[in-house]
Parts: sequence; C-alpha cells; structure tokens
Amino acid sequence: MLVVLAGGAVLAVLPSGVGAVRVAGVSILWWYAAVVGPAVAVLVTVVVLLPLASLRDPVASVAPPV
Amino acid sequence: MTGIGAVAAWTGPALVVAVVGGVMAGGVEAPLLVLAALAAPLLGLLLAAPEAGDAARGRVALAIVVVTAACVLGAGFRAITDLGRVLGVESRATLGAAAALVLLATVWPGRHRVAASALGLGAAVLLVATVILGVSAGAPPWTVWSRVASRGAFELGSHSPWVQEGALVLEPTTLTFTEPHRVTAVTAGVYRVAERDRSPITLREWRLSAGDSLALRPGDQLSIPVGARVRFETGKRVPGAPVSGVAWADRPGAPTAGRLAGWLGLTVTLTGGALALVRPIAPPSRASALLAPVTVLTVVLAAAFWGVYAVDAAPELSIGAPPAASLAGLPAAVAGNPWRARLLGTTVVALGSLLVASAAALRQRLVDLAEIVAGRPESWARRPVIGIVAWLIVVGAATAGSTWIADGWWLFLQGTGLAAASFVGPLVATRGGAGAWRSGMAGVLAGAGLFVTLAVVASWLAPPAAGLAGVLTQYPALVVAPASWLVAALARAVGRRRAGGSG
Repeated sequence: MLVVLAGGAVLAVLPSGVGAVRVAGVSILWWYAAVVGPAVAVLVTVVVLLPLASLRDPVASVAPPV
Repeated sequence: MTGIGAVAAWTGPALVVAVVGGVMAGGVEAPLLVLAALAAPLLGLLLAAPEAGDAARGRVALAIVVVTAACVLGAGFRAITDLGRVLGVESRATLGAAAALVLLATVWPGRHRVAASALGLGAAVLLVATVILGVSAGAPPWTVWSRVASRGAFELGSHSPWVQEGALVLEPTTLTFTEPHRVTAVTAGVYRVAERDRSPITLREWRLSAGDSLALRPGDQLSIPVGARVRFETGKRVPGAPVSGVAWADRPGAPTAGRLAGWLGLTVTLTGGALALVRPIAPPSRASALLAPVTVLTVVLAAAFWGVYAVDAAPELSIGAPPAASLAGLPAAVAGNPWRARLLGTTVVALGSLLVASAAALRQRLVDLAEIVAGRPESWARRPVIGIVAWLIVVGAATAGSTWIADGWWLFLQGTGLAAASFVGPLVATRGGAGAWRSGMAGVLAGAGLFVTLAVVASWLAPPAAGLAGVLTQYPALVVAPASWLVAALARAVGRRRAGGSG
C-alpha cells in the first residue's frame, strides 16, 4: 500500500511533467490516482483480508492501537 | 468494530467535503489527496491487531484516540453546519439538529448495525447523486476532466448565480482581478479596493448602496465583507479561480521538495488517523473483507467525481464560501426543478447518513478500546450510564470544536495528526510487540507532547508560513512521528542494554 501511495508522489515530481502527459484526454497522474492506484489498493486489501476472514474467531483478543 | 462499519469512522462528511474542495482547487495536490484519502484507511485495515499491552499504555492510547475521535466528529459537524449555512439555515439550528441526530443514533446498543447501514445508505446515495450529475453533464467524469483541463479560462456563464442574483459572500473574501470588471453591489456595505497598478499600493474604501457599481482594473484586489451580495459580469473570468484549465489540472503549486514534503505530511497524518480509527481489532468477516474497501473506494471516488463536475459547471462555487458550498450549490447550477430539489435532497441525505455512520463507528471504537483497557469484554455494556456520559462529553467537545474552528478539514488533520505523531513512530520502532511496551509508551508520550507543542506554536504563526515551514505548520506529524520513533527506539535500546546487564 505504501508503494501505491509513493507511486502518486513519484508521478507528481517526475521531470519534464511526465505525470501531466495526457492519455485519452486525462493526465497520467490522474489515471493513476483515480483508477490504477485505487484498483490496486482495493485488490491488495481484499486479497490480504479474505484469508484472515476465514480464520475469524469471534472471541479473539483485542488490543490498543499501538 | 471489525465489520464494514469500521471504515465508517473515516468516510464522514468532512472527508467528502475535503476531497470535493481539493479537486475543485486543482493542481497536482488534488490527485494525491484523492489517493491518500483512499489508501490510508485501507492501509489501516491491513495492519494486524497487536498483542495486548498493559493497562497504562492502553489508557494513554485511549485518551489520544478520544481526542482524535472528537476532532474527526467535530470536523463532520462543521461540514454539515457549513452545508446548512450555504442553504440558508442558521448555523446553531443545523449544529443542534446534527448533534441530536448523532446522539439519537448512537446512544443505543447495536452501533455496528447503525454504522454499517448508514454508511451503505450514504455511499449509495452519494453515488446516485454523482450519477445524476453525470447525466446532467452528459458525459462521464474522465471526459469532463479532459474538457475542464483544455479550457482557456474559467468564465462566468449567463446562468451563474454570480451574474444573476449575485454571489452571497459567507467568509471574509479578497478577490484579485486579472481583467477589467464591473462589480455591482446587491446589498449595501463597505468594500475595500487595493489598487496595485501603482506604487505604493493605494487602499480605497467604498461605501456602496444597493445597485452601485465599482469598476475594477487588472491587478485590483476587492475585499468583500461577510454577508454582502455582489453581482459580477457575464463572460468575464472568475476572480480567484485558476487562470486556465491547464493550470487547474497540472499546476505544481510548490517546488519539488515542497511538493514531496506536503505529500509525505498528508500521507503520514492520514495514515496515523487510520491507525487509530480504522485498524481492525479482530479479523473481519468475509463480507466485510470485500465490502469495506469497496465502500471506501465508492465514497472517495464519488466525491472526486463530484469535484470534477463542480469545477466544470460552476468553478465559482468554492470562492467566498465554505468548501461545502461546492456540494450545496452545484444542484442549482446544473439542474432545474424538480431535479434540483431532488439532487439537493440526496446530497443532504448522503452527508447526514455519513455523519451518523461516522459517529456510530467512532463511539463503538471508543467502547472497544475502553473494554480492552478494562480487560473485560462487555464491561461497558454493564455500565451504560458511564458510557453514555463519556460519549456525551465527546459529542459536546466535538460540537464546541466545530463552533470555534472555521475550517473542518484543519480540525480533521489535527485529530489524525495527533494520532500519527503518537502511534506511527512507536509502532515502527517496536513493531507492535507487547514486550516493548515501555519503549512504546515513551514514544507515544513524547509524540503526543511534541505534537501539542508544535500545534500551539503553529497557531501563533498566522498567517501560515509558505514553503517547507508552511508544510510543517500544516502537518506537524511530519517531524513529530520520526521524533517519537527515535524516542521509542532509544528507550528500547536502553531497555535491552539494562536487561543484558542484569542478565
């Protein structure tokens, strides 16, 4: 997920305005931030969470955020 | 809370309004905001629940999450209040109704169901409203984005409220004009003009009656008092809007270092917030594993597409008004009755549902953490009065915060920033291990203390500094998170050395 996030930052700072190049009328940066990045992020999340769901224990112990 | 409702705390009205406003403002920051708003909660969902620590660490963590929750809820209240203000409803009445709705929906048991149902309803209605906008525009969002990005200038159309009944200014506003423009006062008032075409700059105050006009030249700055209504000329550039479509789409905004620092600050801040609010406390069900990420995707992308449609139809909506104006004002700009009223109704229902979902999820989060600290599941269910009183205090603090702080997104970032400053560094340094609770605690306390100190100092530096200093003012967690990591890592190293010496 961090790689997905970093991909947007890399496109935003690439030299020669590579992120601003239009593909089908929309900039590469926007294609990445609104289509490719979200699709990959959702896919990765589902792929990781689904196996965990099969191990679900309703009385599992819980812990604070750190 | 482990189900779909867990992400409801994140997808509140403050996030929707911020994404719409960010997309309307444009620049390369806009897509990065969309991506961060979407990826941060998914990252939170992916983090495994750590081993249980001691009660003292749990109490400190709970106190920080309470503040974060109050800030996020307060930002939601602010978004709803702004929405009401744009629609002409008195702020206190809107805030009172929103707080009452939240209490009514969250004070009873069954908050899992409330959060999941309200989030589903809010996301679905927001999606429907965006589809209606697309049908009105006659094009999908990517086509509209391309159309906006190729515009030579953002001009005031003949149907714009700014040229018909006039723009009602709800926030102190200064507009810079880039071409000759005649502005007509619809309401009487004192208007200040800074004439910048000569040196030194000349400041003039004009007391105008209704119907009086001001002739402004390129470079002039017009300051309009709150509550005034002024009419602009058809076909002229929207003052305050980006100079062109290309500038809206690709404006870098800052040098490379500043852009990277801004992105990193936003990412760390939002990730820390997601860590506190979304991180699962038990494995999700299969349905939740699928629906939670898809719902986040729906809400964030619907808000982003709304912003694209808004900047195409009425780029002037976000100027001189709170960001929620982009949501409340767009139906009038794109549709006639009865669709205007229906679209406005769906917007209100969507934001109201997302507020209820967010509040229910936040309360359940606090209850879950409190039960962990107490070490007894269902302990709060056996003491409902204490739980209700504690929740009333949180809602009261959120209500007060939304009244005092005009920028809801700022409030949201302060809450998530505190969580980021407190939790991210220690989590990385100790890898969540329960054995390292003492070093983790040191990092949490150092992070929280430093963040509060920096936030107070930053509030003295008004107006916000530019460049890297501006980024640090906006995202203190950018420097505090590494500092808290350092404290936790040092404490862990000292602890290991002592353990080695005594062994």
